[in-house]
Amino acid sequence: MTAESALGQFRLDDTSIQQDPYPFYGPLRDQAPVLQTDLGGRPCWVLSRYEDITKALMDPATFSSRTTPAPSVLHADPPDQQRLRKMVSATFGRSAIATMEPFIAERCVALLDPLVQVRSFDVVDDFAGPLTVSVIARLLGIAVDDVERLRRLTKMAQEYVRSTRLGYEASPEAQAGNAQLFEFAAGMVTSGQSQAGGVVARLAQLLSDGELTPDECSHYLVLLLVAGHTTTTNLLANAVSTLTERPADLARLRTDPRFGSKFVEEVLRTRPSFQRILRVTTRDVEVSGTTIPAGSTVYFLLGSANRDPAVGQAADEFDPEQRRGMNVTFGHGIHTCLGQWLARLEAGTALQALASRVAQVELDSQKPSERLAGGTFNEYGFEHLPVYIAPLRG
Amino acid sequence: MAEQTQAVRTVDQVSTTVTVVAREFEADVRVAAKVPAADGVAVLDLRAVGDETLPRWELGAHIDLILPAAPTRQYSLCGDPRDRQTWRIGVLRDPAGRGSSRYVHDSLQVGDVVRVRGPRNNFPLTASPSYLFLAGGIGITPLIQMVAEVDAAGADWRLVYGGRQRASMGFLSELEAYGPRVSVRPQDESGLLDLDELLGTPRRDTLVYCCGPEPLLAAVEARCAAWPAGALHVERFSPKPATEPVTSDAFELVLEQSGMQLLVPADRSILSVVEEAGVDVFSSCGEGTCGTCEVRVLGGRPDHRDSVLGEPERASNECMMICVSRSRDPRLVLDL
Repeated sequence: MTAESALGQFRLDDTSIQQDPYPFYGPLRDQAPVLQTDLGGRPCWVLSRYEDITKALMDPATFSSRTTPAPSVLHADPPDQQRLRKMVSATFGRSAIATMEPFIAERCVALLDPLVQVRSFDVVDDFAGPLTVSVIARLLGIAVDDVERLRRLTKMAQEYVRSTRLGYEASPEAQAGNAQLFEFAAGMVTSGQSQAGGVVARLAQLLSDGELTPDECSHYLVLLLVAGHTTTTNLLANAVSTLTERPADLARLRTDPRFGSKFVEEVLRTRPSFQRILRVTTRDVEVSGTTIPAGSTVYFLLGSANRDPAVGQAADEFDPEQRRGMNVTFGHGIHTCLGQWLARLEAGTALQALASRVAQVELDSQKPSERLAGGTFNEYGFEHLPVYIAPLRG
Repeated sequence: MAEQTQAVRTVDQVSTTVTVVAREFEADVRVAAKVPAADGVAVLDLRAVGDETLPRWELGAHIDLILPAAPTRQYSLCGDPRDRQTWRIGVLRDPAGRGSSRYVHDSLQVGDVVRVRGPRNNFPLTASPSYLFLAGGIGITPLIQMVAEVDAAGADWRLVYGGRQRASMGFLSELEAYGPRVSVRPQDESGLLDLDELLGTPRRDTLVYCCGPEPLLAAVEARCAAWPAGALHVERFSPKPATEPVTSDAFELVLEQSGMQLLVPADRSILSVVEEAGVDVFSSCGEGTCGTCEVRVLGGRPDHRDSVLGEPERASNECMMICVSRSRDPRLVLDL
């Protein structure tokens, strides 16, 4: 595909492009770094260069997060954003999250040992999904009795959000799923049964103190719940998928204690769970010579920024040893992902547990893998990733 | 390559220069009530002189009580955190101390005005299915509300409360109302607490919270050596050094892994100095709110100016946000 034809074909809502956007990123950066296009008939702009994206994300006054009226920290601007974020930021800090390691390791072992016996399993449904739900549940201080139901409701809620952004009526299932997810979140608070000291207890206290409205509280809990398991499931699946292509890295994870975090960081960079995020401009703003008018929806292609030569040499290659600049998988600026250290810890711990049990991991030739279909943030990962493993002997 | 790294530098210089400087709350408060809870134990209710709402605090927090004619001492808040108008503390009269508790017992009256600073928290309640609370004497104060909270949450818990004699142990009737979960063990009736029985078998699902005199804490720490890391939480009542003023002086920065000594001038952040020296660090918001640049501190005390860390992390001096925070000491050592 030539650069020209790539530009001509690029669509934000094309499922097959969403599942493999990378061939488009280079041409976009080189030839149309500030692209005017539309999504579902609604005009919008697309940025693909590292420098433009990071600069914009450092300017929340111009690039506002209020892309929906939802009372969520994700869609808040300063000062609300900081007020809301501070309610939980200490819990998600790097050293605070490190204390979760024994629990995560224990969960990995409990999930992996039976799977390793069986030898073939779905990384998403059998490992990453249950693991990430149990970890976020622990942090919140709640019990999740039905992991599958929660994951189903989450998918429905995501579909519901997508439909509201694109301006079409959501399916009855999506509406029901979204409502049930919010009910579940509200129930966490009203049941009064969450763990003392957990995040739900903290938010419940703030709610009863009047520091948080009931709407803000439910949105916060839904956000933490959903972001806490979907994005990390994608990260884990993307990491294992990478290992199926790079068996030497699996061995290295086992033998080199410093390799794990580099490997995870490179998976994050080359296979971000969100390929894009968005903002809305509050004024006319010039980006790389093009003026974007006030009130425009702007998409930032994080996956493209991470492959920009500005991030380092051979940016399109997977190389954990290569020195790189900061990737923008977790965003940039004040909204940088609250869960970034939890994500890194979960992935590192899970891969370590896998590498110490498994000599080889391959895609299961009998069952095809299935990529995610995209969504608002162009989620990048797998619906199903069936693998076949050879256990480590001795 | 030079062009590429330049692109990244340019982005870095766009970061904002807002620094978030944290100062502690300090105010005059009135003694609204002074009630004996046991022999030698007085419970004070403190309210802001204008009846304003006091800062929020979480279980385990303590405040400085600043008295006119005696050294400043720390006391655990033992009231209900939801009561934002009143701070309640329990003070044990120590005849051999430096005068603060004697002043509270012998001189302080309802209506008097004193000063408080805080709250701080090195002893937060964290989530667990099961708790063992160990109190020695006045060390019961931070645990009273913790017991109420975990009981209400349905957790499994036990409190063992030791003291010299029953008459000097405060809050007995409200604690004994919980029933068999609470064991009151005055020394003149039951001897010293049987820590071997209580702590001899480490449990993976139980957090141990202990507050009391130094010999008890030392003994509990020794018995908990075999328990999982992080299971034991202790609160010590040792005097805290006077709060130093927040300064912005230049200081020496030592990077342990890279083997470098750098100077951080008064007008530059640790982050910018470290990046300029070619050391790879993560960073993002540049204003101390996102948590990306958190690093481990190996030596020296950080001057925290971020909005991420909670009180215990700040007090531990084990980590910091390098994009905004600085150093209280002339030399700071980081794990970079």
